[in-house]
Amino acid sequence: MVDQQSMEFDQAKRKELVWATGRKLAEDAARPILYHSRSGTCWQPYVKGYVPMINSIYNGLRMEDVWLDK
Amino acid sequence: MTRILRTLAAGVLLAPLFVGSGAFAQKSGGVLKVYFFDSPASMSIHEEATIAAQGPMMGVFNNLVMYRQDVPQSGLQSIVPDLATDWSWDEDKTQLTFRLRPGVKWHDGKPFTAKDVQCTWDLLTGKSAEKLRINPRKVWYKNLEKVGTNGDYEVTFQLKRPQPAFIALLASGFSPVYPCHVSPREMRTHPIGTGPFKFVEFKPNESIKVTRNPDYWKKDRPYLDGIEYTIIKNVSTGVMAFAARNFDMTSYYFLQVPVLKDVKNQAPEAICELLPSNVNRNVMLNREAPPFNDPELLRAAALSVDRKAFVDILTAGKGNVGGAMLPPPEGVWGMPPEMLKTLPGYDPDVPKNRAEARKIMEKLGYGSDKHLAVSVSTRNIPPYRDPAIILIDQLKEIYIDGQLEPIDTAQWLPRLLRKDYTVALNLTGNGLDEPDQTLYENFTCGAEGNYDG
Repeated sequence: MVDQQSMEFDQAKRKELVWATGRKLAEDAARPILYHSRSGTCWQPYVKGYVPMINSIYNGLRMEDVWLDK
Repeated sequence: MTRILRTLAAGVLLAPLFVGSGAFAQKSGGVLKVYFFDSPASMSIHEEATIAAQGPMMGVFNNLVMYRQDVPQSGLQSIVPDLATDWSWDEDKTQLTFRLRPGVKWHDGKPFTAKDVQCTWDLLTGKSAEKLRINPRKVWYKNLEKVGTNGDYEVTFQLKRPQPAFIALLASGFSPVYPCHVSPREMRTHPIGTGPFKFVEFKPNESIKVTRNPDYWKKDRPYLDGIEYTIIKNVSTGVMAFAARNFDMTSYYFLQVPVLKDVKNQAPEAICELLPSNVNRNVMLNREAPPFNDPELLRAAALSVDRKAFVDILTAGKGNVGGAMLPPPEGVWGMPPEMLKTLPGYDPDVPKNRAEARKIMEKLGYGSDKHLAVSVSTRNIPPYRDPAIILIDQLKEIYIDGQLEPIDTAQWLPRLLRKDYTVALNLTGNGLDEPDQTLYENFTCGAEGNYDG
């Protein structure tokens, strides 16, 4: 099922396959997902150019566009 | 094979518009000071699974492609060139060819070529003589047959079967290109990249420092002279230091809701963002060993969970109940809420779920006079410990007595990989919002992130 969704070109069909996989995982019960959290980052107002991402924490930390307005 | 779908990446077209709109205001110089939450085991992104190493090191490297840094929701539509200048798929999506940027140098002055790309993915797929000590994302590339080079500036990823979203994996911050000429051992302590910042030093439990790469191939970047990460494990100490303006930023994506309120009280001028981060809290029940090798016990434990209580207590109601994929609207692939409620254990009628769980436990020989004692292992930092304590409280409802076992960061991943736990409260941070990452890495047989089976 995981391979099937991976090979699917049609995004709507792929989503159905991904949801069906999610149901199977919940039935399996070996790794219950408790919740999806939100977490915070704060910066001083003179830090500019930093754009936090909303759907992963690992992809937006190149930091080459960040600058200090001091 | 005829190459079609030659991609003129959106970023190539849009970037000048974006940069042009505010370029006049940007200033160069200064060192960004960040208080940082933890001390990683090494500096090698390819051997690490947490933001503790990946965050500070992302700027030391480049990928072939990356997600636009100014677009909050990363996805296929926001992938732009990095060390690759463009890319193309063949018709059946099994060959992905990148043309590479000429003239790029590693931080030690050696030239970047196609050979480095080939070396990196040979290392990740276990084909090279050099080996990674830990390879947390090997499964991402189980469909990769080989990487071929065509001269110094072209590479082709040959896949075993079609995988339209393969390029999404390459755009992750976990997919930097490593140099052929530096060993995995050296990359752990002194990484060499091509990125905007050069590694300076890592003092465990003290600091991580990177400095501006004056020879960066993107001529007007970076703006900063460097970034200094000061490791402060105590959250209150870090927050107080930030409020006193000793730091410019808090640790990335680290502050929980109550702490964020403290920051806003102490530093009202600070800019704070509370965002879904595609990190879920989950319980891993080790079904390869007693007692959770019994599927009925697994089912009972799953039925004990009150997800709304976690969300209400730990996120002041701002988190989300969800499944394996990040819930919408921020997540692209998560189930709609109505569908989610129909999953086993997701019925909002918690008393009913727990009554069923207790019946299962009683059939297994447990009850109010005979509880099951288990260790609940977790990483010894608040985002892990806090939900572990609530989990222990919830398990009591079905005759399971959990004992908290806090584990240092450096030992956490090795413990999981050895399956050295009975119940583990884990955070799963997904490298990207993409089923080919989440499902393969965490839920397929033999996957490094599939710690529970």
